[in-house]
Amino acid sequence: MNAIGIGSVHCLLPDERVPVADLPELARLSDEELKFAEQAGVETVGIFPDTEPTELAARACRELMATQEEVPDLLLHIGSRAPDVLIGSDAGKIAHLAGLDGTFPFTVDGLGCAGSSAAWGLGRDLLLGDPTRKSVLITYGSRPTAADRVRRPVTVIGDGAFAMTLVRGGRPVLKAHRMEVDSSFHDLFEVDYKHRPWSQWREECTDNDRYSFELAMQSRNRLGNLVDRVLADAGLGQDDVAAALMQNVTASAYDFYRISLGLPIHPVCATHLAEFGHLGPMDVVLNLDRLLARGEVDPGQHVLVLSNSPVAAWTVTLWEV
Amino acid sequence: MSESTTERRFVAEDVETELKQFLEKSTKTSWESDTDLFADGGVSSMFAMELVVHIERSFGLAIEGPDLRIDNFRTVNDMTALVLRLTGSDAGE
Repeated sequence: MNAIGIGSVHCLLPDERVPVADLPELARLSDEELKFAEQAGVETVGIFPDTEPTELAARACRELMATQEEVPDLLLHIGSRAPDVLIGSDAGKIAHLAGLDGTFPFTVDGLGCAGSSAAWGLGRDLLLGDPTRKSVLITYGSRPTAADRVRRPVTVIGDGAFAMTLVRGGRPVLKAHRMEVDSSFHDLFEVDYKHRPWSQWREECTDNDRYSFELAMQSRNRLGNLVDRVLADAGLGQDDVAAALMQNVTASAYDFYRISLGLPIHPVCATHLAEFGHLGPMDVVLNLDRLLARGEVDPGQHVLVLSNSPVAAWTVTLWEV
Repeated sequence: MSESTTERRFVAEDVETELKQFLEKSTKTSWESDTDLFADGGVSSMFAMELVVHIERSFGLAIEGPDLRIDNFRTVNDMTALVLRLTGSDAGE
């Protein structure tokens, strides 16, 4: 049986980019929030006006599928932090808008930025679990959950969407994958949506100390252990890693993980953070796609992708190019 | 689980002195033993990591799991108690 790898990737990003300094919400932010926005490492964010995450994801799927012959067996949608509709199906909406007749859609949810990596592992397992399946399509659309794009103390949100397939015999090959959560962090961030209109939604960190200290320290330990275990699974060591990628939240996060894990994070991540802001689970897909497009990593070399999220989910995935 | 990687035992005064020297060097500020480092919310994740790594290396510890609660690191007194507990130095003669 062929190993599972990437069939194709399509990243959808807006032509229109707005400097963070020009975001209209800055006029009503606190001094602390303004300082965070200035120092996060985000210079501009891409904006798709007047749309929904599901519509962006559907467009990414439609544009990717226009280049493909195979209809995917499964559509694995990474859920937005707030669904477009309650009771209805965002995954079904995406499949319908993308014209994916015959594809079974469902959503992976509750893992924040770690959603893509979790979907990679799940998609691989679903292909390995049923030899008749040929392709899993994974998608996500990024738009702010609350009214603001500045999410102190986490990041600044940009718009975008991706669609990618996992197939048998694809490349890069998904060599090893592990993930963990600490579910006690499930309510570290919240939006009170039941008692306020959307225009008044505000994301709140319920405990800044817990975020900047306890989650950071847990992330250092958890990701360090996961990196060791994933590399051991593949029979490799840190010297065998050609490049390490992670999600794009703040510029200081790259230093934090470089120092704590001893792994230099490839500069393509910081470039995307500065240009597009944080795109949620899309970050690692964009970073991997653009890194490979640059041709800096040769066939047979390995790329390590790290993810973590404010809901305390950690994933490490090793790809062989 | 946290663990001690050394057989060494420590006395509270030595631990406090060592921690205060580190904090003064890192923050350019003198700290009392009971001052809350995190009171103004200005401590970055990077500083937190430097602090934890320094304690681990100075006292031969690997601090993990529930011991990584911020309340164990709020003051020099709290950190001293953690070091003494994890190294077994608080067990008496």
